[in-house]
Amino acid sequence: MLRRRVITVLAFHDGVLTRTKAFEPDTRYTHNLVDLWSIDEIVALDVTRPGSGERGNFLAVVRALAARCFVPLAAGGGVRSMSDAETLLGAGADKVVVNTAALDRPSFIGELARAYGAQAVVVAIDARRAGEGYEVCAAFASRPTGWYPEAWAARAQAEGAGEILITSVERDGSLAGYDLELCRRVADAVSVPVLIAGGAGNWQHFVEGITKGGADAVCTANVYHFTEASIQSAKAHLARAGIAVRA
Amino acid sequence: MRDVRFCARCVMPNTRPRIVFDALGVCNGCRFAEEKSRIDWTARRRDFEALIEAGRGRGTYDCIVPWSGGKDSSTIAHRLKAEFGLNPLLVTFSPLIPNAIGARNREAFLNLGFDSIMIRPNQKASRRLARRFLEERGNPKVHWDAGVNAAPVRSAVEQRVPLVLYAEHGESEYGGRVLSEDHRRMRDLTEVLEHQIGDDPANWTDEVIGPRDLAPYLYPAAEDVACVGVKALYFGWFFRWSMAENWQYIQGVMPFATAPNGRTDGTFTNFDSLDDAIDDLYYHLQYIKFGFGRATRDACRMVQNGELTRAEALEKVRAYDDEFPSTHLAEALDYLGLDEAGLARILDTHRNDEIWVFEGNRWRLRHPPR
Repeated sequence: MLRRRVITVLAFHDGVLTRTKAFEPDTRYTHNLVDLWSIDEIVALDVTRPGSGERGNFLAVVRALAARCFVPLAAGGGVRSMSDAETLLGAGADKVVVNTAALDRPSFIGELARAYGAQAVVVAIDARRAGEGYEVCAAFASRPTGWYPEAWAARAQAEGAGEILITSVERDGSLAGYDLELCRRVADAVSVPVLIAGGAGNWQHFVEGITKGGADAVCTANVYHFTEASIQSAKAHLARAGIAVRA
Repeated sequence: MRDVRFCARCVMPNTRPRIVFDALGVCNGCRFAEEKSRIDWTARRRDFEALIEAGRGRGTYDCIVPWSGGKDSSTIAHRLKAEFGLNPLLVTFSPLIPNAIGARNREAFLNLGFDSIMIRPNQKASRRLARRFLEERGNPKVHWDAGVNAAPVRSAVEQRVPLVLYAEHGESEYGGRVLSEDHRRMRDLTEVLEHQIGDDPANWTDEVIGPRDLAPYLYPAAEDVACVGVKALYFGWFFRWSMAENWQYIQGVMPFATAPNGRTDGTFTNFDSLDDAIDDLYYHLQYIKFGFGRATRDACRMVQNGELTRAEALEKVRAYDDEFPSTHLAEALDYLGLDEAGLARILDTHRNDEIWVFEGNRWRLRHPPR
């Protein structure tokens, strides 16, 4: 059994670290204190709305993270083309995260996977509750797509995705716990690793994400989970719950 | 959002977490102040009277008031008793570093005829958490925020008193994120966790602090809260909130001690946030992290209440925001187990380089208030 991962998701609005709440950028806070050693992986996302910032500010962040951290770094947000991906990988990212562009043109996933390897392609899926199930949303969760997350995840895997990052839009920033049913549906539909995000408030939520949600990795985007003491405390909690994690 | 802008009406910058500026460059704190003059306060008062009638006299206490002994919470408690004949239980979560002014004001108020409970948590854990949160979050009072929020709710459950009356909804009054109209009336416990505290206090265990040490900071179980039917409302929803009016009111009912030097470090006021010797440092950290200090905070509230013009506010901000909190520094350093150089190192890690620039041997704001 692979060890489970604890991942920090950092959202940047025009290069400024923010929290998000139901996908709206929230508090600004310094990124000086993000621990880049004890976390297993970092996902940096550009959440700048078109027209409200400079892409260069996000690239500077990716370069700075890549220079300082020695764990895998995934970067995304606004990746529309091969050259966008190339730029992020060139800035030091190990993986690219794609979302809306893949929904618009699923073969984009395969093009990325053939160029950089499936391990470098993370397909991010944002979903909202809809009726009895869920619906995938594109473009900062503003555009419903008609896809069921489980169906879209399976398609993304078939196209060549190496990992799926599933986020509940409603739970984003809520600290109320992950949407476990959403995660379970996606995890049951694919064989590639599933990363769960949106709603982690305490360490027990991490345990549930793995045991009940079926996630391979648990993500937190909450600014106050970034510190070394927090990460050590979270990993100790997972280990006590019988979940194999990296020390 | 890399440009720092200032509200066109008060002087609050857009670096304040969750604040919203409208198309005319006016912050939502100022817009709310306008809105307050259009509210039918007589109708709100009637709603309040109906609400308390329903629960009156069911036990020894009619409601719980989270109480620091300061002008705001003491005014609320006094009005509840004098105007509405309620018997409130006052619940105090101890300041990190209690001082003589706070103790004197609390004692003077209890002499007017009120019961109170003071919770002072395990100081070994509290000091360790203060140091940790200073380093990690630039705020030595994160755990205090959790405790001060949890204690009244826990007392409500233990004493079986279903009504808790908080003061004002800060996100509405001072500019922030208002999740819904109902959030302005009824306190949402998760909102407090998300906005002020940032994670579940149960997460704060480490090699020294165990789960039991964190008990004072945890909310009671949701089932217990539901079983007593605890409802937490904002006094400021029912009655027009004004710090200045509270200050007038409390001076009329008791001798109220103020900051001994005529004002507190970093600002021009003498009547606010007086009871914890660590508070001056706490507000200085707000200045380091977000680029606006305690004078900005106080001046904006007064502009919104029509007590200062914007030009006067700017003058106050320029005169006091930058002042280093030296009056109670020794006590704060002792509490945190730091010397001055150690504190300076930690402060610099919290300087946001989008806000600050090091020039000519000192830190300067990239965007001074204007």
